[in-house]
Amino acid sequence: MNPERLLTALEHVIERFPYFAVSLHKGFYWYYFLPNKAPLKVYPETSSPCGYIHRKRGANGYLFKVRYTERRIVVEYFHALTDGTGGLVFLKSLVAEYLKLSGHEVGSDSQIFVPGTKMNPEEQEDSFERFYKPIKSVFGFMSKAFHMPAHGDLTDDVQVISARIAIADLKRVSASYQVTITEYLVAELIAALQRIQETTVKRQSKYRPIRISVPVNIRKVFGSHSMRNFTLFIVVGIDPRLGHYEFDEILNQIMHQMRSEVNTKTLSMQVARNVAGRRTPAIRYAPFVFKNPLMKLLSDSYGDGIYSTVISNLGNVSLPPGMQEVVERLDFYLSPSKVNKISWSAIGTNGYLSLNCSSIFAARTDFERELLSELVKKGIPVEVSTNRLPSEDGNTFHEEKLR
Amino acid sequence: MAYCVRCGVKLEEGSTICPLCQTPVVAPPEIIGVQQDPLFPKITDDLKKHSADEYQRLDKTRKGVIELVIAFMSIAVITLIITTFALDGTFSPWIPIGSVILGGSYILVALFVRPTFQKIGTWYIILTAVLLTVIDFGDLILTWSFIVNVSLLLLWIVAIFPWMLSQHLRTKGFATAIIAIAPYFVVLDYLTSGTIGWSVAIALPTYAVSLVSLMFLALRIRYGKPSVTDIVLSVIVSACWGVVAGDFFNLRAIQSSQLLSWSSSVMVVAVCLLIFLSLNMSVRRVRNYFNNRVK
Repeated sequence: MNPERLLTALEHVIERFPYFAVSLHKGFYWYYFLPNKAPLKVYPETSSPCGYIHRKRGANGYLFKVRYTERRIVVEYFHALTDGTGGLVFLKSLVAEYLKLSGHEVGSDSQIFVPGTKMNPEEQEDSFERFYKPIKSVFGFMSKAFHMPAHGDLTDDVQVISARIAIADLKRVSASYQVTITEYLVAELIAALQRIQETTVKRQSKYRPIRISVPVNIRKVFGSHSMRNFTLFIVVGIDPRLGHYEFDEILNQIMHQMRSEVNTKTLSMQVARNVAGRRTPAIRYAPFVFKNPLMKLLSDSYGDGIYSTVISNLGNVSLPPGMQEVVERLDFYLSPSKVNKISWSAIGTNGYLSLNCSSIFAARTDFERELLSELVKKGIPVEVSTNRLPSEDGNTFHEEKLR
Repeated sequence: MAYCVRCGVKLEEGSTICPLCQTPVVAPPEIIGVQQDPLFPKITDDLKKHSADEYQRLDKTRKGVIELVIAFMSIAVITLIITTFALDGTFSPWIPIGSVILGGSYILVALFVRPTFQKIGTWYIILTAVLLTVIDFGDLILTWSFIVNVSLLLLWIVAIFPWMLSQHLRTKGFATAIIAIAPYFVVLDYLTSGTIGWSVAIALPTYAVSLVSLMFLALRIRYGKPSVTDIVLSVIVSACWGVVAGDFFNLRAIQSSQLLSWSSSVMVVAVCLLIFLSLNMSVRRVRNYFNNRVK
């Protein structure tokens, strides 16, 4: 990796993505973006991903950070700037430009935007505003979901366990259940959380629903070409207060819930809910000092609180021939939050899926172990890597300590 | 490249321990292998320093709540000042302003001070004392606030001070605090009437009766296993005895011929509860009946 060349590639690519060259400013009523002309920088990669980007000092005012190690290019994004799909397009374009500067021939791809080409005006639109329909939101109240028990120390550095799984193996097993890979993984996550809840919570009356938030790329549903944030979440799950769910039952529930949730009408209602707030003058013109803490409180209680964890699957990413030869693996990490201390992300390329678990638990890994060892039991070979350091006493926080 | 014998997952080259369950890998070095290209860079001192410079973490929620509290306080103070001008000097804003600022300070203390009972409790008592002094000082003369502040000091001595001591000194600290209340009655009596009268004749004997009653409960907690209901009822019984004793000593102080006046009904309640507690403690059948047990 040549940092100077990477910086040059970044400077070329950012011209094609002017909507990413922005900085975030704090107004009296709301935050807003302004074009940023500050010099770009590249940073060496740290041992833990998803670090906090300070809006002024973090990356010279930019809301993304390009990092490098000897053999890897990393881009970290603030979610207000873009979502997984937008981030992936930017990363692929950056890598393609870097390879071009290094003398490699890279073929064309719909997800690679070549510097100097004309920008589609739709790329910088706020699609939430464009596809807003004044529909009355009929969301019911959702109770608090089960969260990983707060045993064990927390850390500021995101701890990752990365599992590399052959897509063919995952396809084989999920096809045997007649579901998609995402549906299968969501069901396995719920089954793992059910086992943890049954171990850690003594009485069934104290059980909470287990729900998973699954981000959906709604560009395809609505026909948007925006590179800005345009993702919604569907929340699926089971209620163990009704009794123990067998894996087939979980899978059946998840499959039907996921397939019934992804349709234009239900998603339009979510778009309406997201946009309605900022269209209401009383909320829009409420001073920032009142709005910000209240929104944070609402987001923690009615957003993060209602699901147990999140899994974002960016799917199988196709690479053009010139890039396929040199790209060994592709990874994607989703930042955990204070409420949901563990989040899962998946991305596939070159026949392998990287299933990454980001956690802020300093030592406990029982959730990761429950899921990955279950995959192994079902005949799916899993290879794990981590940035976790072995604990000093050689003993981590696993389920025996909870009992 | 090795596998974890417990989880069954394949470990990356050079791993000597499973990251999922921390089971050590027992295999020859040629199977464990050597880590050629780690997925994440190893932590070095340079990287640590760089990381510390890059990340200046802020607790945004806490910052937001602090901003909100200050905003509410400012709005209230501005409103009070405008009201003062609007009412043309007939309204004195100082007491409400002091109350608003101190009210906001109660919330800010919880956000700034380390969240331990002792620290937050001490700060709250200090703020309450300041607030009461400000209210008393509204007419530019200090009257009742001194007595109330001494009460707050006693509250601190009883409810917070023992918890600042280490475990083995806590009982002694608590006992000292209980005894410290007794002179307070005398001081209060002297400050309000200029002589020592009701404190010695009524307050101290009543306090002694309540303490003796509570001492029985303390002994039961120390040597037995009373249920929560038992403890609550015992506290009620102690309070009843305190009330009865208050009435009894008051009648003696005014040299009445009656033994008890209005507190006789309270004494009936206390005796009934005492009989129930004694039976509950000594007769298994009563205990089982109230605990809803078959045997």
